[in-house]
Amino acid sequence: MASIATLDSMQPVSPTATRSVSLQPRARPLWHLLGPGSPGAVQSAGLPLPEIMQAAALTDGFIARTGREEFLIAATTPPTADGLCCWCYGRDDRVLALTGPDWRRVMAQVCHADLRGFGPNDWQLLAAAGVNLWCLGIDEGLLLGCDPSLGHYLQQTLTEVVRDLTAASGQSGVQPTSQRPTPTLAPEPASASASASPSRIGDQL
Amino acid sequence: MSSRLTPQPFEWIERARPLRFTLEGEAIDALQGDCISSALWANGVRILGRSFKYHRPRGIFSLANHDINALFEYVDDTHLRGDVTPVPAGINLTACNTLGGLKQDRYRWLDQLSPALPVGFYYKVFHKPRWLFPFWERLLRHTAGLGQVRSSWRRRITPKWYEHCDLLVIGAGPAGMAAALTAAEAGADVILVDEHPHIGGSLDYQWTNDPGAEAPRATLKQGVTAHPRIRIMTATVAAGYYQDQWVPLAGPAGIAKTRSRALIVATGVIEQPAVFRNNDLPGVMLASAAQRLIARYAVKPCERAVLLVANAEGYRAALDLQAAGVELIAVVDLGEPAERGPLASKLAATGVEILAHHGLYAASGKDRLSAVSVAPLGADGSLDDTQERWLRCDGVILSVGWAPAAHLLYQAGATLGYSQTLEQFVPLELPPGIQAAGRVNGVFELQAQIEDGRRAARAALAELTAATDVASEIKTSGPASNHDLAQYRDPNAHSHPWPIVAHPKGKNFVDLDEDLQLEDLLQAAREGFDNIELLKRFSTVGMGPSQGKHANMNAIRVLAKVLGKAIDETGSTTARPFYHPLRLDDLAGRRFRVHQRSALHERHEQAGACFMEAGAWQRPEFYGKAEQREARVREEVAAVRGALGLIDVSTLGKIEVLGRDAARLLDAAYSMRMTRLKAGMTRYALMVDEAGVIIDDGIVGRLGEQQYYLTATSSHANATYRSLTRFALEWGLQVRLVNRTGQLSAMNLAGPNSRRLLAELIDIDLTDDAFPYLGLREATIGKIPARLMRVGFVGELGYEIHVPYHRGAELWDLLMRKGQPYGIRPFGVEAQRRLRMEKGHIIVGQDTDGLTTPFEVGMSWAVHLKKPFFVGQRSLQILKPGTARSLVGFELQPGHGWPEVAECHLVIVDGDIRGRVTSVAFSPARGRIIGMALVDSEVAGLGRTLPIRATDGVLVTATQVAMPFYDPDGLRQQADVQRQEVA
Repeated sequence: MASIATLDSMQPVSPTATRSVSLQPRARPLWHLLGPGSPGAVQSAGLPLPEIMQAAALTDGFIARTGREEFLIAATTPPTADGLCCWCYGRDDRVLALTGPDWRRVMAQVCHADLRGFGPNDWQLLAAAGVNLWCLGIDEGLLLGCDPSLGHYLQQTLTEVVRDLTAASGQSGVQPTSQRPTPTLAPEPASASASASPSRIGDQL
Repeated sequence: MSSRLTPQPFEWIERARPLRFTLEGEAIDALQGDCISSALWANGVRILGRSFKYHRPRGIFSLANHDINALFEYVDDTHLRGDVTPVPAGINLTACNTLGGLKQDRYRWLDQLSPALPVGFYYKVFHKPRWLFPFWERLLRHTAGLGQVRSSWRRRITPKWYEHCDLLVIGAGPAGMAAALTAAEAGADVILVDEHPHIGGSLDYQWTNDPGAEAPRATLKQGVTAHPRIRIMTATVAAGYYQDQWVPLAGPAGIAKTRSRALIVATGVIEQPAVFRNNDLPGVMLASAAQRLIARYAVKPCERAVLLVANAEGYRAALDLQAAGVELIAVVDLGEPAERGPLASKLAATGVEILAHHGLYAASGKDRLSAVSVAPLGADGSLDDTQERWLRCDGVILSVGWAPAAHLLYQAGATLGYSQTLEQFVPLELPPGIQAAGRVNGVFELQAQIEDGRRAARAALAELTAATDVASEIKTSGPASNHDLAQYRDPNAHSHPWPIVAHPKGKNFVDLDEDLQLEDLLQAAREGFDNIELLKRFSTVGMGPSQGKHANMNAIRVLAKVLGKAIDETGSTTARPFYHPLRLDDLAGRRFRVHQRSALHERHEQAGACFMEAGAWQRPEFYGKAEQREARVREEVAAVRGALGLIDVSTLGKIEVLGRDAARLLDAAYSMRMTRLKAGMTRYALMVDEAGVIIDDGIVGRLGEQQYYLTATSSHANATYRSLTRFALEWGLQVRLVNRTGQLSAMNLAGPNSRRLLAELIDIDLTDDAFPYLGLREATIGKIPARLMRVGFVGELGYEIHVPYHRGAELWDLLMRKGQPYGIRPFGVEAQRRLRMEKGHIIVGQDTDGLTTPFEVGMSWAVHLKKPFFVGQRSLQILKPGTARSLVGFELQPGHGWPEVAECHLVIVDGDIRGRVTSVAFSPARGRIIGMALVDSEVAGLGRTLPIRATDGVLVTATQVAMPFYDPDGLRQQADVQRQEVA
């Protein structure tokens, strides 16, 4: 009975293969810096200042410009700068690493954004599977960050997509290449470096 | 397989892979690559289906996904189109729309009743008497045989996905392939899509025996297949065109929602039938259908054929049939064969009889074609039936014209007009980003189609490179200046302007989907339905499953003739998505049901929580097994009232409001004054909309001169954040907002022992002077940084504690461990609902509705109308004097014996609905059922009865009582009282 659906595909769609993808949570301390003095605070902290929005600069973590005066910073400690008008809040985003040669096929099932040209070190805010995300390009994949309360849902959804694509590629006779690891999902503890109150930098407005 | 031919050069079948299936129990041998119809035809089966209305026998007609009378089903699926569905190995098929099988369909007698069932018959007859309509409706639906949907079908999940490209080319025929190759060679990322399982389009069935097609075929097919910038998607339908260049591509794996920077429509044309008596008999088919049968499936369409032609393509088909071994009885040309070009001469040289200026008058045969009559055309275009001559044949092949497959162009907003030269609609103006190429653009010669494809690609590339954000690697190649759509159009008509023949006995079908005859359309026009859209709706022409792909053009011609208007003046109907029907499971796709979990979710699971959905959140309703619900909830309520309870309130909205104008923003967004709020204090915050309707509530706390922190209801948190952001922008305020709803854990420690437990763990003074009721403090609990608000939603001494998400579980564990001596117990949403109800606190959205104002729920105290401004202020000023409804409290006497009262039960007074119950539950404090109801103010009044209609219709009499039901003076959440109690 299932042959009807498969028989339709007399000529394969290109590209054909769904090769392996890996999805893993990662711990990464994050900070939300905002306010008129935030660009100055970034510079005072000796961090690179992304000039344009929706772009990130790499440090030992990254610093992404999410607005004219807003930044998302992945760093062990928050930037500090006296006399500058800005606020800094710790963030407990759920961060997942989606890696593997077919990561774009996974994202294509959950996200309408055009990620054809998205590569390592690229940074973007987008929505996937109904969840707002930030994503950072890494080698052959993405780091995806979302609100921690949505982390379970996002991880579950992406895991299902990976599973289905892997199964579909198996049905079509395309096997994961031997060099690729089998898709895995290894839980790790979440970030442990945020505080309830803002880490104020400088004076009040 | 009596009709199977020797191998054809481009056949789709795999002769080494035989298959077998059954049709109504009869075994059918087939080959891999066959469609159902081709396999049946190869086995000599000629009745493939029954028509919708008259149950007339039908065979292969188009073999192009429009043969909607040949529908099949099996235990796991229905409405399989025989002309495109691959042979399902091992399946037992039955035909849709029959009673007793294809051959012995017991509804076939309906054909004899057709004179008594004119157009509009159902509208005119079955609506009176009205009470009988359901009977007729059921009978007609059953008779129509729409296929059976079975609940036993296995569940299919076909996820949708997104695709992106620079250029999407729809149609992989000669024009489409040329366009794709041209664009890809210029550097564009191209998707080439075709609804058939193989690329090639008409090249591989219409130009099969043309030596001039060999070189372009090889170049184009190999070129697009090998090019790394071209992704080919076959067996995939471009189902529609949507705004911003979104095109759903529906294929075997599901729907790819595709967005391209540019789009080329090279969808070709749809061959149109001739209308004459019995033009639907099995054996009558379009020339392109016959060519597809031969070229794709190596099946001989018939043994003895008569062709009706009005173009060169008809002669090409005649030669193809001849090459396949079909005996050509005659070629009947509606015009002059000498004008058809060299193919007509070539055919004439074979000795086939060619009848110039003749037409077909009628076909005959029982269940399949056996003969057709021909007659000369008169000067007025009608047939001279006095000279009717019958020809024995088992095949009538029709090649009288085409209609463009321009549905996507229409949907994209293109303007099309009728070309008198081509006798078909052609694109006149195209919207930006859209191109048309090939036969859909009126280009018929093969080389011209290829050139037109290249032209369209160059035009698309020129648009792409003109865009500022285009990929820099795309380069225009060749001249980009000449984008004349009509450059390669044919100078001769390929369609006949009137391929329609009247017959006194009718059965000359214009629409095979709906069994509409010529007389039906003429009658509809006579009755006044003389607009093409009206004609469509009254007669249902074009409303069948093929959506008029074979009917609309002739219907327009009929109406134009009746009205004496030109085709352009008559107009055409709307071409809506989808181009072909899509599967519902494809449309459904993967289910994305967003759910949120607090940081304490695992703790709740460990404690045996029974979860409920609260918006997107999963929250503990209570802790215990489902069957213990009432007992556990009462225990949780008792714990909070008597000792200590802890509830997860992480779902509350949590928003930081920062900056110079933070106070101004909150003052204008909420109904209470916020500018005067002292640092370290909180205030109840009520938000109404412009109409004065309550939309949210929460707490606003002030942390500093320019720093506020507020909470919002769980379900409205994001909306409140968006509203505040919008207000700040619209009002030009210097404010920053940070929505920390998901980033913070929150829990409410409530009960007479709450302060005693907290005092052991916290680094600040909790005395009433240091941390008064409604106070806001930042502190450390254990080693956890926390923000605390002393509020009393449940009516007891309590502290709402907010901590970072990742510290939530740690704090929960600490409080639960250290709280054991104080009788701590986690409590869920249901206990909280009862506790707050005893206090008379409302829940926005439960005790209010989409019209409720603060005055109606007794919250005038929360509305400061003397403020300079707040959203909804003017409305509330107007509404205040005339409050129409009131939220009242009620109780039921213990042991009343009445059925259970539930939320949303109606308040009925003197037979009229006068309100509804908004909250109701057993109150341990009162020892009886209490509740709230939103009622007309006229029936409100302490001590008055409140008749409530329970589920089974019994009227339950409640008594209105004052609220709050519990601790009306609020003493239990005051520290002074607590000190006394503790002491």
